[in-house]
Amino acid sequence: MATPNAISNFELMVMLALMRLGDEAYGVPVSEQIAEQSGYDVALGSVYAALERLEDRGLVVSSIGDPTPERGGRAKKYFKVTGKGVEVVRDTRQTLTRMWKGLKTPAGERV
Amino acid sequence: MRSIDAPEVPAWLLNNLGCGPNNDALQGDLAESLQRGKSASWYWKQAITSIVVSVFVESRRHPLTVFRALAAGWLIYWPLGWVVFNVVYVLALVSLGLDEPDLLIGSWAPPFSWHTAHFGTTYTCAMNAIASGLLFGIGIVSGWIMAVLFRPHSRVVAVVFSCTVLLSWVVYSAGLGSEAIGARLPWSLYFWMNSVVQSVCILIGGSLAEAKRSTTI
Amino acid sequence: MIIHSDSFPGVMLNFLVCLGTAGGLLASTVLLLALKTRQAAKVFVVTLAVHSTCLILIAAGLVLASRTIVKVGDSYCYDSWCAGVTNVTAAPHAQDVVYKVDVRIFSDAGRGKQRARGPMVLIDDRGRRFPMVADALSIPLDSELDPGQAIDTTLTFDVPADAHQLFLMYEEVRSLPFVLRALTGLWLAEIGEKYFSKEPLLRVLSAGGVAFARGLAVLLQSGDDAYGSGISGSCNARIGTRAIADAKTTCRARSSGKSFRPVGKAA
Repeated sequence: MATPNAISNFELMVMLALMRLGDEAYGVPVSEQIAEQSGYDVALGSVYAALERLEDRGLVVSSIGDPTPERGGRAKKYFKVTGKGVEVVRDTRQTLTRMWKGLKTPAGERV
Repeated sequence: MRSIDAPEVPAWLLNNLGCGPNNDALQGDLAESLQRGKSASWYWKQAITSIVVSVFVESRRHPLTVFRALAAGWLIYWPLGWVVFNVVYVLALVSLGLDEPDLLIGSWAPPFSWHTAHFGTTYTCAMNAIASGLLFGIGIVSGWIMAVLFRPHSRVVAVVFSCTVLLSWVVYSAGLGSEAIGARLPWSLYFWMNSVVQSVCILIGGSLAEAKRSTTI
Repeated sequence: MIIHSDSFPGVMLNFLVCLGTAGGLLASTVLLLALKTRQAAKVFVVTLAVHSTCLILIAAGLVLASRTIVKVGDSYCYDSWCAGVTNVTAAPHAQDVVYKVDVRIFSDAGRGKQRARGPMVLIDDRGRRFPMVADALSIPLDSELDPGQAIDTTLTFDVPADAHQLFLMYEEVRSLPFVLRALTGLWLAEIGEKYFSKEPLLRVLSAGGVAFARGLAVLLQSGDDAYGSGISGSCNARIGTRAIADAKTTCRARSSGKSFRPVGKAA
């Protein structure tokens, strides 16, 4: 059964990046992953804004790492997708797949 | 590896104006990216974008708080400005033996050249400097009070209020008519300098309150 | 002599009461908006207590103060608009007496134009009010005055012959909004003036003067009958600015040139 929680395209990309990175997912690698896969840069601020929204809805959880001198003495904040988050990702994929199926361009070609 | 320091201005702005709960981690990420070879201009762009995005997101997350804070902010700012300029400033002018109402800061219509022709350049510059100082003081006090009253949302509240004050100056200048703003550049520059600096002073007031709180904790 | 309606300490007290009360109410509202309800309530209660104390003091001062009666020749300033009676003349008119009160009005302001914000009425010791009679020949009472400018005008009143002591009273229309008047205590002062009869008055005629004028009117009418139609026309009794008791009145009758001089005071 599909969950009622819909997520935006960007939020989906962030969650997929988190799932791909596993335990080492924090701001920098997530934005790099999205840039690598999509071909365009994303602002770190936007990534964190999306992560805050997802955390508010219980789709991701965060934990604090150790501060490092490289980061000016600031700690990393790691994010992980929750079980509920995985369900939402799965449902979104199924919905999109259903909507993609049989789709053709006006010229009659398959999309 | 040689450590590369973040550009001071965007780093300060992000540290004091960034509103989100992950602002600390974000600053760390930007510093880390700098070490990995990102440029200073990239840092600037990221810092400004992050501030803007965080203000929008926080405002959407706490709309009622922001609305109440704006109402409170104007209830502080407007009467404070009125008292300062209709009481303090007038008393200062009268004690100096000058009771011409046109020199009061509220009367923007007579341009700088009119004032210098009537009161002399030195006197006009001195009075304008005092008026500007009072304006900036009002900004700092308003920002400080708001930051204290609306913790833990003091940053977003200070930024949004500062923007509304700047907007009010723009609206006010539109109401003055094009002739007033027109080609009288020194006067126009003075007006806009006051508007922008006062808005910045509100942010400074908010930052001072935050800094005081941090040292107390 | 010029008497002022308020002193600098009085004005400052009113201003401080207004500022303090407005500030307290604003602070309370701001604290409420910040959801600091306890502090908001505390500030509100303190503001109310201080404001009430000031109002009580103003009311006490009002009750204890004596009414200002300005004698003929002196002036009274209602804020920056001032008026003073300089001369009074009386003439009989049917059962009444028509009083023409010469008034000097002037501005005490340093800048800005001043004008009367209401009419002047004549009142007697019974509290009866007699409004001004329109007189197209006189300069209007509400003429605009430049700083320091003075104007002489004449106000005409039609008063019953049985009216005793007469005074001129200024019925000012308050221009400040009620909220400001309430905050400063001015509203209380207005209510107090009205119900404790503390409005300042400009003396027009004392009891002796009115009786004299009334008696004069009676004599003039009986004089008309006694001397027949030889003495006709109106007779103006001029009562000078000196003590009314020993005022001598000369009445010129238009006729064969005879003059009529009343003897002593009338009953």
